Amino acid sequence: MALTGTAAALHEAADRIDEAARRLGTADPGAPAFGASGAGRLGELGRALHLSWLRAQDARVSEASAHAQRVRQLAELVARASAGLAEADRSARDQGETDSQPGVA
Amino acid sequence: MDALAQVAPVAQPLLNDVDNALATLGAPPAHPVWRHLRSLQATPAQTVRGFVDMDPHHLRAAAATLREQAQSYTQASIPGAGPWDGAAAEHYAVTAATVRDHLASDRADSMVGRLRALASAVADLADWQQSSRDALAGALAGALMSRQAMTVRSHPAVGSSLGAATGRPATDGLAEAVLAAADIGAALLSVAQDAVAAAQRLVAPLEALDELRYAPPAFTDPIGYGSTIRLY
Repeated sequence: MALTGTAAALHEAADRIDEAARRLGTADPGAPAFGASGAGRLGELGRALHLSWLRAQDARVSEASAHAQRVRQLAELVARASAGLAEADRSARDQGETDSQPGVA
Repeated sequence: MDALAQVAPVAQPLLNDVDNALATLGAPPAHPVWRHLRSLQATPAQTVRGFVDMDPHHLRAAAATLREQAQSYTQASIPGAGPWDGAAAEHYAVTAATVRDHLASDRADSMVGRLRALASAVADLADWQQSSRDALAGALAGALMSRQAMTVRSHPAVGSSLGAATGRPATDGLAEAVLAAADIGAALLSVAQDAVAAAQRLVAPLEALDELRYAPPAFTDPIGYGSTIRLY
């Protein structure tokens, strides 16, 4: 895979992880689904379970957001390396053409 | 529609009478219903309502979303070594492998592992809700067909509608009606208390799923200006 292809694949992976973060952020079924609207101990249990779920959900969203950024940074590094190589390649080609022109020192 | 959704509306008048009897007439001092009421801090009707309102389908949908995202992570492509060589390429390959493992290795301490564990914990909660609802539906059906239900429903001081129609004096058989209401309350609350106790084991797996920390690769030879990339 060429460097530009690697960078594109990394950007695609970052987009996928970003989309996962967005979808995970909307996955909360709501407190009543955990029994939080119940009375007494049952309601307390439901509220505790919902709170634990929210923390676990937030953790998954944070993991995804941070990792998408990480993958994007990796893609940018590869893209910069690719651009540097292309520039070096162009310079070498230009130099070669200049060298091959008669009368140019 | 599961058994609880079907039986709960039928049982509502009886539950109202049981709550009313407990609130206005009490129960024998040593009756187990007092222990259950103290423990659950809710009446039989309130407790049944709490389970009726818990629909496991919502949690199953959340678990399915988590599993879909885990699958999506496994499909994300983090290319490994490419058609180039040199120190920068080696650093890239090591970093890409670390990023890939953090995202989607089979280990529990990967993002996929955390998502699957959370999906499993939520699915376990849904299973618990369903088994609790089924157990409570069985207890409610048993209560509806019990001798105690007939006693409660037919007493003028306790039964909200049927009792008044009997024309009996309110004091006639009152002790039996109060005891019958307490028996029904205890039978239902006992099932609910077992369910709440069983749910305690489901809290820890959820709480254990804190944020996974990324450990970047430790390079001893940082890329310098002298590094080269050689294309194949």
